[in-house]
Amino acid sequence: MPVSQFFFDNLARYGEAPAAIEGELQVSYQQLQVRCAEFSQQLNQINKQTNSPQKQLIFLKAHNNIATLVAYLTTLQNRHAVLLLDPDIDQSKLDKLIASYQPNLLIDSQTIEQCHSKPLVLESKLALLLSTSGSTGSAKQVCLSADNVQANALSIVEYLPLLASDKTITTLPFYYSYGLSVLNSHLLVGACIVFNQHSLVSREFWQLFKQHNINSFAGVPQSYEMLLRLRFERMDLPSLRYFTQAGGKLAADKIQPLARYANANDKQFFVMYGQTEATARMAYLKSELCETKPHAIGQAIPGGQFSLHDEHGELITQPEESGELIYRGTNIMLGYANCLSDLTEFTPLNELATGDIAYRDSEGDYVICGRIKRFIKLFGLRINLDEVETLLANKGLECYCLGDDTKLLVALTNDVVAQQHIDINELKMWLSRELQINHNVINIKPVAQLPLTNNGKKDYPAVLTMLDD
Amino acid sequence: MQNLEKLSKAFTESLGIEPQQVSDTLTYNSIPQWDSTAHMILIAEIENAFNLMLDTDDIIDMSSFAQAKAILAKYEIDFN
Repeated sequence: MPVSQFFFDNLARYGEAPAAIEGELQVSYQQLQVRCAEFSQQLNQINKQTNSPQKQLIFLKAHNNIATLVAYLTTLQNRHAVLLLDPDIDQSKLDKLIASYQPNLLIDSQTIEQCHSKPLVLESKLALLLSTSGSTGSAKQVCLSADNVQANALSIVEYLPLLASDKTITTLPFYYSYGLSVLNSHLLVGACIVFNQHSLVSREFWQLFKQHNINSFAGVPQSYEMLLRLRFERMDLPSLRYFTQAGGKLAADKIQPLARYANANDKQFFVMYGQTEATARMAYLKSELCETKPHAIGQAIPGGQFSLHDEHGELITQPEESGELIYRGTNIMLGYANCLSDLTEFTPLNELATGDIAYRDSEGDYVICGRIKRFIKLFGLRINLDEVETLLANKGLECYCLGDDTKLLVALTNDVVAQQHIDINELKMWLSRELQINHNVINIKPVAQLPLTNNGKKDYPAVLTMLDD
Repeated sequence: MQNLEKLSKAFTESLGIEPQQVSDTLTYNSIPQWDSTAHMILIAEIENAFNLMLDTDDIIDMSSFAQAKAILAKYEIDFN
């Protein structure tokens, strides 16, 4: 595969090989290219009629279906910039995003709605915009170039045992960087994607899995917690060759049984680490190390490089010494955006400060041991704790939010609860809907007071001990 | 009747719903609270409450309150 060619251009290069399956529908790479050409013509027609600019900003409601795949690939082929949306996004949140970015077009499967035909000043490299947290309704987007997407897909196919004859099944949203990276890497090698809308715990999912002899799948920590409860390690899945985990930390006592299952059944299990800011992937752990090093994220992906820096920005060279994990590689984003004017130009980034604290062991594998930034990852989604505090403050509820990759903790004072007649359970359900996370991972507790440190800052460790009581 | 109460409690706690919402017509995905995550928590609650381990097929098939009773009957849990 020549590096100069983007995976999304000239899809016909893989001819009759199956590219995607959705229900009864199967399309070859040849047919996928034809569908892209047709969709491109539809776009051109609208553009001609309205004299639209050449490079447009397009919002795409990203369903796990072939129509979305066609729209996504067409926008990339035409060098537009596409922002992938959760198809279930609230209309009010969508309206806010549209007001912030003023997209030319809004696409939902085959439906194209033109918002306006005015030219927008967009950085020529801008290809893809992804949200890091679909949940808090923040307008913040990670802006990626076609080079970013191509580079990350190339790295992924280098370290994962991906074959052109492979079939994978979608288990993650299309608009989520990890889910998207699975699609991109499969398209790069000419493999096949089976689109699935069912949950891992449904009969329909496992029927599709067996019917299509699926070779690989991806999961976030919560996916694997479900699979273990389903006694995944007792399932007979002869077609499965490898499975991957990313999107937050999976506990070591969950990684080990998965690793043992893989080892005993001639399969491979890959624990990976990444961020949307790095397109998707930054590190992976060699599958043979999963059982013995269940805490590690392994080493940087091919083409990437890690370093560790102490609080003064000095390079850490000794093993076992922790500092902020810094990544370099061609998959680092162009930058962040909060509105249309941020898309005009980007200052090139040489490195990405991950916000994670890590150390390197004596064999060169990295272990994450903390986080500088105040966010947690639930269901693979990043939840900014300060944004949740603001969300509740806007309801007149002063609180502290904290937690880890298994739960969100909210501390309110007894006074606030009493004065505002707060029903804790109702508040939990409201927050669950607002953040689109299951209520079981939210824990709201009244406390006597919200403590401050001597410097007048919010004392999170103190409130955490109060919550533990 | 004690078993029925135990099962109802597993449903109200894992799905975060009121006891009066638990009925035979309560099915998976019929309320937003009963999603795949809540389903696995429900399974854990049921396994703990009745001190048993459900088979994969039973976990997948337990898609309504009525179904849960039918499946548990196979494990000799009596609801009559």
